[in-house]
Amino acid sequence: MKKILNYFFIMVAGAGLMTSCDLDIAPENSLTGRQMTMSPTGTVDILNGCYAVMKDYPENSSSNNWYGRQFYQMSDFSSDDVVYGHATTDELNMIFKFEERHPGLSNVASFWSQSYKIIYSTNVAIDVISKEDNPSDEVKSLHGEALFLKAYVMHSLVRFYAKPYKAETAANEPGIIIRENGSDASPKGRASLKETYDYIVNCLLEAEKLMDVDVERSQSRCFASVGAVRALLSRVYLYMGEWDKCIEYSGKVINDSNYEIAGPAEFKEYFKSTWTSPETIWCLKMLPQDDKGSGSVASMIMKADGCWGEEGYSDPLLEDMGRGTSLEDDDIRWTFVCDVNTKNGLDLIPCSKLSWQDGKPTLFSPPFLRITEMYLNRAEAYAHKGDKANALKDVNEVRKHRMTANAEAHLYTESDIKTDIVDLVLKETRVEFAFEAHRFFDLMRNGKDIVRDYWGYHTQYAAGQSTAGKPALTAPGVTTKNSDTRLVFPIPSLEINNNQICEQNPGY
Amino acid sequence: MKKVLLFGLLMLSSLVAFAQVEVKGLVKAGDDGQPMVGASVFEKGTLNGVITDIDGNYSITVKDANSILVFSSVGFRTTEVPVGARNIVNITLDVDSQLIDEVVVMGYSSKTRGEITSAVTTVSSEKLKDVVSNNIGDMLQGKVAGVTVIKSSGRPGSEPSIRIRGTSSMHASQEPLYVVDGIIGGSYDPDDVESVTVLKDAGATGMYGAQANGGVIVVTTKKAKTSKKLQFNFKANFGNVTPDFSRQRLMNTRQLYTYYREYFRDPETHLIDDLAFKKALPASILNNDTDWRSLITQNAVLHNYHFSVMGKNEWYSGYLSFSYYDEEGTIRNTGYKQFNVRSNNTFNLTKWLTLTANLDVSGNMSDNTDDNLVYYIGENIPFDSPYDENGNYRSFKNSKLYGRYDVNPMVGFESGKDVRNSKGFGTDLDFVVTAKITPWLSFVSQSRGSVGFWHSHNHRFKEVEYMKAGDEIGDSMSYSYGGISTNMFKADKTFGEHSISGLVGYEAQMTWGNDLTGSGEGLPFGLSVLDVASSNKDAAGNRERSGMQSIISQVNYNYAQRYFLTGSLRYDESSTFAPNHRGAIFPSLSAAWAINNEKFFNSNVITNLKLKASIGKTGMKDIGASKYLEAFAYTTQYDSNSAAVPIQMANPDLKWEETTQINVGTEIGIYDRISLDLNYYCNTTNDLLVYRDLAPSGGFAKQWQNIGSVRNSGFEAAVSVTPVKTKDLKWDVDFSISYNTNKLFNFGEGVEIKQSNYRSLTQIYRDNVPIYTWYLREYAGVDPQTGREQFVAEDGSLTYDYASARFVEAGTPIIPWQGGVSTMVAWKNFTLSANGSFVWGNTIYGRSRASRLATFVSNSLMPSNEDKIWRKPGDDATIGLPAYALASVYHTGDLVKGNYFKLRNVTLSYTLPKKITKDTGLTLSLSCDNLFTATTVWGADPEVSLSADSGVAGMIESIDNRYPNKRQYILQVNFTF
Repeated sequence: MKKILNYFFIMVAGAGLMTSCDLDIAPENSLTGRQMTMSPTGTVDILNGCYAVMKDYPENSSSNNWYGRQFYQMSDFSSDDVVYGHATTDELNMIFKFEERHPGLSNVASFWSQSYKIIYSTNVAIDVISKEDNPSDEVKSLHGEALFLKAYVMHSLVRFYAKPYKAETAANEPGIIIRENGSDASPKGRASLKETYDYIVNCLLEAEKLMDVDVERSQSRCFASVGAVRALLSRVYLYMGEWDKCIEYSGKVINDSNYEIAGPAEFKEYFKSTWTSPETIWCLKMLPQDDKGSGSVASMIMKADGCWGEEGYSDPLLEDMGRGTSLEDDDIRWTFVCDVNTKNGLDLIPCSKLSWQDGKPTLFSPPFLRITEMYLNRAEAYAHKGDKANALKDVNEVRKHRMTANAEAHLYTESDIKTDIVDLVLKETRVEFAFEAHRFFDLMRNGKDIVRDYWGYHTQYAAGQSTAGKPALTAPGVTTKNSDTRLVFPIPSLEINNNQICEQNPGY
Repeated sequence: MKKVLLFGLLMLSSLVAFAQVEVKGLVKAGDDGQPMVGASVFEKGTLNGVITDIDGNYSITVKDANSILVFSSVGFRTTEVPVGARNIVNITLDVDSQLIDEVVVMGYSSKTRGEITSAVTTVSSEKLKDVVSNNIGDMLQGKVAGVTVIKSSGRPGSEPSIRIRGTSSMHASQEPLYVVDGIIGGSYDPDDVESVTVLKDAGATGMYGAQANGGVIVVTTKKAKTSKKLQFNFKANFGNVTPDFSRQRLMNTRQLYTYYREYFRDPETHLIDDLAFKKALPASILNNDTDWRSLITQNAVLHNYHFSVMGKNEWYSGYLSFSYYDEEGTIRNTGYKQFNVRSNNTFNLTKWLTLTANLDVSGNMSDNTDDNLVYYIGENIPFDSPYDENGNYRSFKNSKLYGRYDVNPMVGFESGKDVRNSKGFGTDLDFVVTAKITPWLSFVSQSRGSVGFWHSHNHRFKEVEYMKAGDEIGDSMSYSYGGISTNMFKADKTFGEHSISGLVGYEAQMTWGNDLTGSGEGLPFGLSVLDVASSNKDAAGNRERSGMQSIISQVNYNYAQRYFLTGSLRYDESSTFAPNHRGAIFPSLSAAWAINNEKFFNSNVITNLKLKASIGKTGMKDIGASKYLEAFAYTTQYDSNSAAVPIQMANPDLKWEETTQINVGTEIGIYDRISLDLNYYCNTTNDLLVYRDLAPSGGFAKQWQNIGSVRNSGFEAAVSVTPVKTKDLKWDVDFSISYNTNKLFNFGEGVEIKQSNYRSLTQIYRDNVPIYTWYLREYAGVDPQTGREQFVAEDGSLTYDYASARFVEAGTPIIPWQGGVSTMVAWKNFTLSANGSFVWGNTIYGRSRASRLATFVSNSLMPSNEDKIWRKPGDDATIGLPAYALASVYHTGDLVKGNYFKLRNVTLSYTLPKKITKDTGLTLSLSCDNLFTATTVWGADPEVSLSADSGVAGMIESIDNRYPNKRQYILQVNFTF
């Protein structure tokens, strides 16, 4: 008996000494790079991931720092459209307060990081697709989609982190870092502004050819399409001052039967389901489970459940919308102007434009490109060319579709041009795209100063609102010259610290 | 096959032993004179042995009159007696009071204190259990030289973090490895703990190789001692717990009102715009004064019971216990309950075969509050009342408020409206077989199977005011199972004055985990399970596995109890790394010289004098699985389509972080009154595992890499003195102090790694600075002329512009000086004890100061006594004009010294005289934990987290994100029968 036991223990010991564990373990919610190339849907999944990064939280960050929120805040809160209504330690404070901007800001860093993550993904997808010898229409279209996404993200980057494009100086001004392919990740300097814009245009021109095919995926307004490529070309050419090309591409989209400018009744409901409307060229679809709640785009500017409601319409924006005139009744865009909310002595007028998808105050699918912009891009291009008639025609086409009554009376004629036809176009763009991340870029592109002669925490009046009248144009924080270096966002310190050949913007 | 043959031969040789002399006798215990059951009696140098019976009698047949009998039992001194011509050998075993013969459990093996060659500290259960807690970490605070225990929260059930000998890693886990009853990992109840041994240098931890960079804490649970009858113990604690906010005070309405008036000071004229002030904040505010903090805090109740029974006979030794721990939180609706059942069973099946089966079953339940609600409380100000004129809670959604949040959080504190709880359940089964193959060789197989289950649930009904309206529900469940098995041969042989012992074995461990979470919205009245959620149902789940296999070996040699040598070698393979970097070897060597055992050393004063030295290697791989792989995560979707997001860049070169540890030390005993333990160490960690920031333009913001080295060196001194020791009065004092320096190197010329948290609070890593060195813009105080905060620019001039201020290195939260002191006075049946600990010389970041200054009407934190507000040109102030206040800036002005001394515990206890209690024992004690804190930190508790999980270490969280520390008064009854 004892011996049997002895042998038993020897066997246990021997087994223990000889077995070995399988230690090749991979995560079960991810695929490795090699597995991605073997997956039949790898490329599609990576491209879907690009859109997902625009709506999801970044790694190691707070829930506020997602792409869409920062995109809207960094542009609109830099403009003269929004009142900063409650001092906060949230870094959106430094978007309002230009003099306090610094390279360590997390919002500035996360927008940069997520943009480049998308660029990386598109590069990986393009690397894989390029290896195919006879690509099908589907694959060609995916190739174009990748190029479009890359171009879109790069153009948004260059608008924030570099000076506005001027043909004369673009070759000598820094643009952004261009990442050519999936293995281009080592330290790299910034390309010139001209190289950056040329690169973007080339991506889009190639994408236009590749996507001019009939595939199911690009029928959805939630994904890129040839229309989206052309719309972005219209925008990019406008930023480059290439008026004729802007007019050409705006026209291509306007003539595309897929898109149609929304009438007043439709526009009133438009933002609740952007992906269903022919107004939309491309939107970022947010599902109910993507609702960002108090970290949503609407949260800061809307007064409702889950919203901070600390920002609102500025006086000059309301003036341009025709405050105190019949436009308050006739122009559907007044629908989004909410009742006054007064807190600690400061009056705030919230905006409901970016709310109410699925009845939720914080859910909204941002239309990054919509057809109305094409009319206004073309109008601006005509205006710059001095073609007042065509500019007015496009502006009026927009106004006609926004009036619930007396449309004819609200159309512009030459006599409405007070200073310059460009200013008139910009005024319409301001009203149309209020809180849609256009105004700041429009001012910068056209060399305009940022004038915020209204009370709010952007002034150095700590309590937000004085009992005196409007703040003087010379008061701190009110007038900011177009050439002010702090209007160009800093390259994040995260980039500079780890990529020392990347040049910082002046003034930081 | 060879082994089997050898083994068989060995077995035969032991079986052929034949008998000549029969010896009988009685074994008694030295403390109470009672017969000892289960004491072992062996013939020296053979396998021949017996165990005393229930009356303490034994009978053994030995070879001849030259045989020597060895009597031993746990807790008693092992005694050798030559048989000689006698047939009856009676003996009384002395209680093992001499420290030097104390058995120290080192994990894979045990040694007597005298044999130890490395830096090891043992804390007995009596010294641990002055503090009442559900975990051992709290009890170790301030008691072991070189061990830092940081508890940054008073949340019931929360566990502290522990650092042994400084910080040796940037981002890998640095918590020590726990070894329970000889097996890695495992759970236990603190009341079942017999002793805790802290292994501090590689001489001891080298045996744990890749898992030992953070040191090793060896926990031994209770076993029956020699006892004729069953011994019962019942212990109960009753306590009152109060919140301790350290030096964080809040302003009342009048103070805050006056303070906020400053916000209306015109930056040009320096006059206050009273018109605007009164308009924004009318004087009627003064009619209300809400102390928000007091609305959610409470005096809580703690109770804890532990019942145990143990007993032992010839063939069986058992220990059975049940404990229950119940602590209410000092914040309403929070609490923690825990139960634990342990059964330790050892069967002496035959003379050569012992089987141990230990079972530990534990469960816990914790109730939490919604962190957001606590945050709202912290951000509310005394101007606003939660009540309407009828005394009911009012809605903040549509009423006029001065505070920032349109949420009346009090509704959520009404019970049942906002529920967050979690439950954990775990079982460990240890199974140990020890087979004595020959007198000097044995085989030990020790295995543990563990199962853990965890569930958390939360729901909030719509009547609770919240940023986001409506109800929500979420459930999360996970279970894990795994096992570890160690199979080893152990040898122990003496040749004259030479003793050699050692072991060799194989160890494998594997853990599997699964989790599942679900959430939804829309709850019908009164129901709160996922089934009933009407909208937005969502689910997620994942599966994980990790494993490791190792070969272990150790050799101990000693010559005449004077020279000791220990060497160990361990080979580890872990699933964390790529196949070509998976394995690593961890050697160690240690030696000691017991001078007092030398013949030439003859001193009546110095009773113990030992020198010891060790060198060895340990590793740290705990960064999570598969960090070397390139990965595209499928954890998201776009418009309900699968979406892959690149989350991890490949690093096939990722490898072990390895520490080379050197320790030299001495132990000195003077009479039996003073003992001194001095150690110097120097630990160098190479190939630091760094979750490094990358240039995000490459597509990734971070990656795990091996970069640079860090050296921790320092000394530890522990002194125990017994100044008075008479029949009625005994006074003990223990004091420990340690000093640690920390320096980075091997980063390379000009390499500077800057790591930030999610905002831009930054720490720098480069050659020749301590780890976690603050790297912040340099603050230069408030300009007396303008009231603006100033900074130092690149060229040394002063500037108001934060963005152009220069960065400076400004101290580190790493603790240089720390220690503890404890004392105990025993007079007749009374015992008074106290212990405290201190930290000196580190620099931490106080976030609350920064946010207080920057935000208008957002919280009511009181400025410190030293703070002065700027009002007019010429003022020498610390708080600038609010008009210029900067938000979200991180500068040296917010760094503070983290010095503190805490009186951790004072206990007075009384043991009823023996003549009343007879065979039983009854002790009553009254104690207070965390009685008093002296600190340089204004604001929240100075114990701050020392891990860089969120990017940086050593930041005091703001008021809202931190559960207050606690102070507790405890009455204890301890009854033995």
